[in-house]
Amino acid sequence: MQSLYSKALTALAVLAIGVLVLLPSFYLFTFIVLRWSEVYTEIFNHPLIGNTYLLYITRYLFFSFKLALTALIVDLLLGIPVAYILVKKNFPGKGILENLVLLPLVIPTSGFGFATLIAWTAIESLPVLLGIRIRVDTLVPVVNIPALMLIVHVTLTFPYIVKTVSAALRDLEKGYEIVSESLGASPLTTFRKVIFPLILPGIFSGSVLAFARSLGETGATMVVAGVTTTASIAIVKWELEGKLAPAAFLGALLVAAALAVILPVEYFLGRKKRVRGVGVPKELELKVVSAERKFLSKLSFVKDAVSLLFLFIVVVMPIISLVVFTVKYWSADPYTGRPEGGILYQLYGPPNYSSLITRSLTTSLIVATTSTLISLYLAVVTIMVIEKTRLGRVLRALLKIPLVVPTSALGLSMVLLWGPLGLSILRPSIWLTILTHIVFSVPVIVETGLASYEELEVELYEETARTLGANPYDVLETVSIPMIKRGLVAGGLLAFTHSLGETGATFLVMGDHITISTLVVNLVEALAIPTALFASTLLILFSLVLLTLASLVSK
Amino acid sequence: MSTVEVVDVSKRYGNIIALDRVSLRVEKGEYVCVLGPSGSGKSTLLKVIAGIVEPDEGEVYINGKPMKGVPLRRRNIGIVMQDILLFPHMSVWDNITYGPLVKAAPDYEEVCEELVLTMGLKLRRRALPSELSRGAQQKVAIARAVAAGARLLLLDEPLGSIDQRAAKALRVELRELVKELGLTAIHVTHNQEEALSIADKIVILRKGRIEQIGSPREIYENPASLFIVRFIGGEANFLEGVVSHTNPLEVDLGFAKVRVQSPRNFSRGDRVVLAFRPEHVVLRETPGENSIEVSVGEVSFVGKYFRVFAEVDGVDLVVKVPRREGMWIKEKSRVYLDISKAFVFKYPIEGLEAAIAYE
Repeated sequence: MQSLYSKALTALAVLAIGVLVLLPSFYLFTFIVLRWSEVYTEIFNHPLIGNTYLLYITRYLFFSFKLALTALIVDLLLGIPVAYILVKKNFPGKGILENLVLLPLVIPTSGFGFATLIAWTAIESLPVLLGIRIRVDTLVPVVNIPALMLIVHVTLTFPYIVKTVSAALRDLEKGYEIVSESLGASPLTTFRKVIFPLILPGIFSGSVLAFARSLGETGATMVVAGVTTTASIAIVKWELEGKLAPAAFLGALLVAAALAVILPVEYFLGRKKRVRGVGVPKELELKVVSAERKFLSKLSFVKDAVSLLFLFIVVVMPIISLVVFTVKYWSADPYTGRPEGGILYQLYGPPNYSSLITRSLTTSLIVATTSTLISLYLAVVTIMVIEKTRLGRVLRALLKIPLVVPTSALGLSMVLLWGPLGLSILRPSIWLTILTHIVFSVPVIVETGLASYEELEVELYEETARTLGANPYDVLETVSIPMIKRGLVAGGLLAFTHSLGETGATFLVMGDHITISTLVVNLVEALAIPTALFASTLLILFSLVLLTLASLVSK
Repeated sequence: MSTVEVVDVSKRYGNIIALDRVSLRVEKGEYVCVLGPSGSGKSTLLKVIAGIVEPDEGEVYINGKPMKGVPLRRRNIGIVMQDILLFPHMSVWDNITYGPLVKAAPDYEEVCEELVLTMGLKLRRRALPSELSRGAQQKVAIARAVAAGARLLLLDEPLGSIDQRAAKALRVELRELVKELGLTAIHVTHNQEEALSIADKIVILRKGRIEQIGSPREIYENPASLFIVRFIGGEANFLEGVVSHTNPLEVDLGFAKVRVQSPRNFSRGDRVVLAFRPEHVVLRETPGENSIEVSVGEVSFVGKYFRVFAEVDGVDLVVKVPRREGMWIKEKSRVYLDISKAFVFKYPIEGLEAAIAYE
């Protein structure tokens, strides 16, 4: 009886996770197949515009990949030194630096995008004062990507590299470095031949996350994009214009392409085989080694200084600028002196944006709270299914997918699945927003929960409790959950801040119930700069408080 | 070959004193073992010599040159650790050739070829380290250090993670290799048997200070402190007494007076401790000139010898008696113990317990 009962429960849990969390990631494919003829005419053979959409789609996809790849390369160049500094060096203020690095992971992206825009383009901003004019259409040479877009993407994705690489460095036995040095290797050689191969798995898993995040980034990108369009922005714009067929097709391609890049890497990581050195011709190897020996190790502090300076410029400077401009714009436009251009007037004067802000903030908080709580509940069940049943490994692998599916594609998928065109259960509204946020919150909480479950070896204690006569539910309530509570809370906070800042998917699923982070994008596009300043500052300060709370909890 | 000179080196970690004015000289071609309980500072000493840790005070000289500010990679030191630390992603051969390669020596493979022949290493060169036994891995690690041109080997518990039987064989090979190639070795261990069997010279560290430096025989036969009597051999017996006569030296134990010999000078009335190892006394059936009467408790048979637990005047003693000589000893009987070969030490100011404590 017991086993039948628990089997039924497991089946129910798996079904719930499957429908709520996994299905949306794949639904776009189903949608295209179901409406293939419609999609085909729209994209390949439109009576009026022919295959114009196809051309757009390929262009946007190509651009998104180019952007993600370029950002990833910059991430690696900057992230690995920063990870090195965090692990190897001890200095006052290291804790602050650690938090600073993690900040972009939790910061609401639209607010941060706006802060970046202000910091780089305002008349009294640093680059302008230095004579480097960066506008939204300034291109980075060689790669032809708008500079601001690249900066924003690097800022939002490099923490993934720092996080995974510093974890890999921490796990790495310190002796390897000492031994290599004692054998006469220069620091550069040691890094290339010993440390790099050993932390390569960490670099790969960080790269996967960074790459996926860049592909799906919408909020900050929209704010700084100007006329440039990425695949994610195109999905949002087309959906809002009702062009569902091209939006769905682009979304499906984006998901497929992301998975095609990411799954092989994940598979390779899952096998946990060591990377053997690549055979390099002897002469070349000797030349490289001699070159590395000539490199002055004294110069390495330049590399440290450059990466720290960059960190300051891309993370701290925008936030400071944002606060400074909020103060400047508080009562009047600082340039014209007109009170109509001030924050107070826009908030409480005739535009009466304050009610809009209050309403959207309330919506955001309701969404974040509800989706986090439901996700916590689902995550506990999922963790148990993963640890206790044979389905576990498959489920665990599948749960990685929502983390790498670009969020705009996810939002579109949610609308098509639950909305009037699909199951017709939910229209775009606050409820669909909650459901959407659950999709990416569950995997986040499951991940942190599982990490503490395995680290604390909860399984052993559960068995002990069972031998003492506790039934499975007692064990869950008295042993498992209390032991992994910290992991769950940390994951919950992460999910909460994610939810608060999410833009890409939310744009498509929120309907009239606008959230604060999407409001920022709309305000910028409507050129209501003072209110955008106020809302962004509010949002960022809010998440800073949450981050502080999180670091207090995790201590 | 290298000489190493450590002069007045001190190192503190916060409140903990790891090394307290340590001075030491290692001659060319010597095999030196640094022996001490855990926490005695022996690994720190090795790290200071290697340059991994900067000393707070004092100076290290290798081949007469001061090493201050010389980075590890220019010291020409081979480091072999307990964790072995072969690079796990490189084949055995790539590990061995690593040193000459990273120094950009053009003929790096020939150099290693020769070394592997001298060492008599039979290897599957393409094998990954994880495919070898721990003992074989450690041999490769030693070969790697030597191949890099190290003339001074620093070995930090090199046999600590290898199973006992392989470790016993390897320690002999290790000494032979050092002698054959004319290297100098400083070998840190907490295993006194290991140190006694392979060292030319033993340095005993305790609480960051050097207690004694000497050949294995000197250390065993003429220990400089109560601690060393106990540490070398693992267990020892201690009896407290007062000097009642000098020349010849006689100690009043309270229940008996015994004549002992000592290189040290004492005067009448000095409080002293008699220390003797379990295997350094003779048990007799009849009273003799220098014997004390003890009551036998348990007698346990350990193969080569009997372990006899005895008691005198409230002090528990343990005595090892060779099998053939101990057949007559009965439990719960009274026997006589000849302790004329006991070591005599002044009663320590800090008390007997503190003087023999490991930490």
